[in-house]
Parts: sequence; structure tokens; C-alpha cells
Amino acid sequence: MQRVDERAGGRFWGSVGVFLSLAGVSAAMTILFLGMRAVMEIGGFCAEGGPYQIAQHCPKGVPILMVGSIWGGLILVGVYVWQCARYEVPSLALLLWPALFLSLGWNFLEFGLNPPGEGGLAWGWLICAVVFVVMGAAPLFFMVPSIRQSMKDEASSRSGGPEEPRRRAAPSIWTPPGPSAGAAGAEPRQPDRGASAAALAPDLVSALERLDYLHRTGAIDDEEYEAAKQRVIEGGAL
Amino acid sequence: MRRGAWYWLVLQLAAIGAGIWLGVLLFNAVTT
Repeated sequence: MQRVDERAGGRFWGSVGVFLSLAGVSAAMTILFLGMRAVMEIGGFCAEGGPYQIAQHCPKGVPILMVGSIWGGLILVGVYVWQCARYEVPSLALLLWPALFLSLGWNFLEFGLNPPGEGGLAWGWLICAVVFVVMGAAPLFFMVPSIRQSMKDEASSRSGGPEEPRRRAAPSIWTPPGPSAGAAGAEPRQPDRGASAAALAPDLVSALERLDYLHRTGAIDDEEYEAAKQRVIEGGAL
Repeated sequence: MRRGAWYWLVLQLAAIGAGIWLGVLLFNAVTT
């Protein structure tokens, strides 16, 4: 994937691309939401065209809007993800799934509790509501801890305070851009204190292994082994 | 979060708002 340097005007074109594509996705989802409500208000099904006698016509313009919003929305999601990757923009793409299923699930819930033209409950729609809400909400439970973790990591690396060991969290939906993502956001990275300890670790392990070998083969006795081990652990030579 | 991250968050929230407004406008224009 070709990445664009912001200093070369990338921030402007990145902003334009991300704004337009996300606005398009948002518009498509809004049209789908409203189109679904329009069909549910006339009983939940409708038809247009074809050689058959149609019992229930669709509201004016709704079929083309629904088809257009589904396909247009899918294409625009692709454009949005591409723009975010190209300009290294933190992406909200993973929230689109919950947004879609929770918004459509809300329609099922509302119309399931108050079906048009009849009393009681529409159980078919209520079951759909439960399925849609579960599908939309379940990913959020996994996303929220990863967002909190990434924000906490960001805060602690900025304050320079003691860092807790970095956990490899699931990819966050809101990962701030790296130092290359803008002159304003570019900060010198703190050297990772864990790195020097990690670099020393193989030496320490191999020294302890050699010592253990000498001890087991009887080259050194228990007392010498313990003393040498202590020296190695404290950073001395063998 | 970094300042850059706030910029993109606000921009994208504005895009979502503009999209909802545009969607309602378009839906009403076609269906009425």
C-alpha cells in the first residue's frame, strides 16, 4: 500500500478523501435505515416490477434507494478504508458493523413492539431484533477494552511515567497516527527501557547454563556454583 | 491522545453528521 507523506500536502487530500467517503457511508446507512422503516410501516414487505400481480406496492423510490444504499455503501466503505490506510488516518471502520446492526436492530425492536395496524407484538420482528442487537453489540464488548488500553498506553508514554508491561491488545479501532503522521503530532519516542534488559537476557541465560553444566559435571562444587551464580546474576563475569 | 488524533476524530464525527443530514435530505427528496 502506498503511503503518503503529510508534509507533501497529504493531510489536506487525506482529510478530503476521509471526509467524503465517511460522509457517503453515513448517508448510505441513513438511507437504508429510513428505507427499512418505510417498508415496515406498510407491513414489512413490498414488490415492484415482474409479471406478477403485486399485492403490496413499495413506497415511492424506496426500492432504488435501498439497492443503491447497500451497494453504494459497500463501495464507499472500501474507499474509506483505503483512504485511511493511504493517509495513515485512525479508522472508525470497525465501528461500522455495530452501527449497521444496532440501527437496523432498533427498527426491528420498535416495530416489533408496536407493529403497524395491529395490536400485540410481532414476534418475528422481535426475534430479528434480538439477533441484530447481539450481532451489533457483541463486537463492542471486545473493542472497548482495547480502546481503553490503547488510550492508557498513549497517556503513559506521553507522561514518561513508569510503563506497565505492554500487553498485545487486539487491534484498536482508534489507533492514533504514528510520529510520521504529522508535524504537530510528532514527538520523540522515549527509549524503551525493556529493550536493554531483553538484549542482555540471552547472555545471562547462556552464562547460567554453562555454570549449571560445570556444576553437574563436578568441575565446581556447590559452594563455588552458588557464588558464581550470584556474581552472574548481579552482572559480573563468570 | 495526540493532537493529530483529535483532529481526525473531530473530522470524522463531522463527516458522520454531514452524511446523516445528506441521507435524510436525499431520502425525503426521492420518496415525496
